[in-house]
Amino acid sequence: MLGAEAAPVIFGWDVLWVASTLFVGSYAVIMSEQINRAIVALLGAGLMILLGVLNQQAAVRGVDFNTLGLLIGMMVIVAVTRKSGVFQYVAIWSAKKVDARPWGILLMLSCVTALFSALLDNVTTVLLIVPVTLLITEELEVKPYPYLFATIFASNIGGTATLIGDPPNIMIGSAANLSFNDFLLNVAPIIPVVFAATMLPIYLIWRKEFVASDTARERVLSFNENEAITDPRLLKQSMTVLVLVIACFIFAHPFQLEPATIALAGAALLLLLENLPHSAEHQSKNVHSAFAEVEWVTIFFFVGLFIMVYGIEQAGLIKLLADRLIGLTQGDFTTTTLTILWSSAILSALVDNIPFVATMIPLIKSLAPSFGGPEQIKPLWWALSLGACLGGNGSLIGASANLVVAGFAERAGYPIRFVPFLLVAFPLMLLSIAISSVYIYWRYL
Amino acid sequence: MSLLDVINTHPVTLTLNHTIGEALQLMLQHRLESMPVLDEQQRLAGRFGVHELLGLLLPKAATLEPGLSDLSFIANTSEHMRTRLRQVSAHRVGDHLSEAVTLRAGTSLPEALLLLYRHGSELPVVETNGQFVGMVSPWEILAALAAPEQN
Repeated sequence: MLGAEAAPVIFGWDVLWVASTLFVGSYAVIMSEQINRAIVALLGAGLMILLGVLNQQAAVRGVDFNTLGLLIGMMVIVAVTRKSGVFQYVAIWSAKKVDARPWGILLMLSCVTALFSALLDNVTTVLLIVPVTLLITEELEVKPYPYLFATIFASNIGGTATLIGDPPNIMIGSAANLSFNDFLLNVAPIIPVVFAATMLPIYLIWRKEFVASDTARERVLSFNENEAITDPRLLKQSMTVLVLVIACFIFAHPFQLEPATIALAGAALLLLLENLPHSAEHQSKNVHSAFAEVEWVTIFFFVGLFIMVYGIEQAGLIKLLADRLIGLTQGDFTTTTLTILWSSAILSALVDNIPFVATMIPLIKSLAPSFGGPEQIKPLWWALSLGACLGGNGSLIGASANLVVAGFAERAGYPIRFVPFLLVAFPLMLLSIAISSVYIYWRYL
Repeated sequence: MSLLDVINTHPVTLTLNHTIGEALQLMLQHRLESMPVLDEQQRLAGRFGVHELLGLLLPKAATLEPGLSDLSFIANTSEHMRTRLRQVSAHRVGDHLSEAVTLRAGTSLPEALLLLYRHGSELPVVETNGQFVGMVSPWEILAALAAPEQN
């Protein structure tokens, strides 16, 4: 089973047991949130090697550098772009477009969040939007809670739409060789429906709160969004690169250009344009600060996770679980697809969806022979994507973006509590999964 | 020269129950950038000063980290700030403290200079149990250093 890849397992322990115990143990520690998840994942990966489940070469083969490259490239592009002030500009412009009416602002900021999330990482998007949201609600003298709640949902829903919008999609796309357009044609069409179906209950629940005085609205209307653009030259450069990168995602797949190549080349081009007129000293400062904004905790978490998942895959646990799933659904494709959708959603609401998706990917891959090959199992990937990404809305700990918003809210003095959030968010998440079920059933099954 | 030679043992101090309005009066009257805040047992609880007060006048979104990087798009009006200042004037100082960087009586001169270099204004000196001793300012240290050496 392990071939030449594995080093000898110490003490003659059964490799399947060692790998499974390590994996479940690490998963439990990650869920407990007592130790930083990157530390746990790297330690788990190290133990996979030390205890002989994998050797180092095999471990490196398990790391999906396409996912890492895409994440890092996009993070650098955003780190440079944000300095231009464009995100504040769009948020303020959109708030003024609706005459600074509270409900209009909530809807507009949610649309902006969803759109940005589709093109950028969710965490990055909320980091850019939430400060503006807090400023506008403070000036309007309204409670920020509904706006922050809507921001969380919009970021996770928008992120679901594209290959680059949410880490689970990046991982799925990379592992199953699905293109930007595959996601655009298969996942994105249902996203506007899910978005609209989520905004309506938000309006109904908090409709009494959407009131602001004329003076407060005047204050927001007096914002001058043009002043938010701090660097017009950088704005032009970063918009050019961003459009170029997205065009490459859409059109370059037939030429075998992987997303990581596009994102990293885009990042390098933007850094070049930004730094060309500067002195060497200024350049190294700029480049250092752009790389420092990469979320290295997430990147190292991915590295450890990929190695651990490769470990249990090599040890045979994934195959075992896949057989169990087939047994459970009696090999029926419709049941398998819907089981993946619903279980992904509920589990992703309760645990971090990144390790979950990392585990599901080899599992779904190994189902391909049972259902007639990689082409036939594509709906399973869409089910996993919709389930894992939208499932993140189910609780405050369901996605990293939720925790970032909650962190902001706490520091600004408007804490978002776990249970009150869950009581509204979980049913809303189930609604989005119900809509997705109908869509997948109608289109693919 | 030790810190004890340059310490001001009778600085202006605040208690947790002072209002922000009272603190502002003291700040303006004595042109103080920051004041030590003491609890009932005369232990140092934190500091309150210009930095904390400006933070209260600004929109919360601008003082968060990472927050708004600039506010140039907000119209230039002082009316809203005046209202804010009136509102926060009644708040307790104890609810808006910042953690204070502290010195010990035994802190060496180079270390004290480094902390003043990094943190700017005057720094409080405390005993190991947190009891407040006094304040050390760069002015006194510089004056002592500039004075002719005494044998």
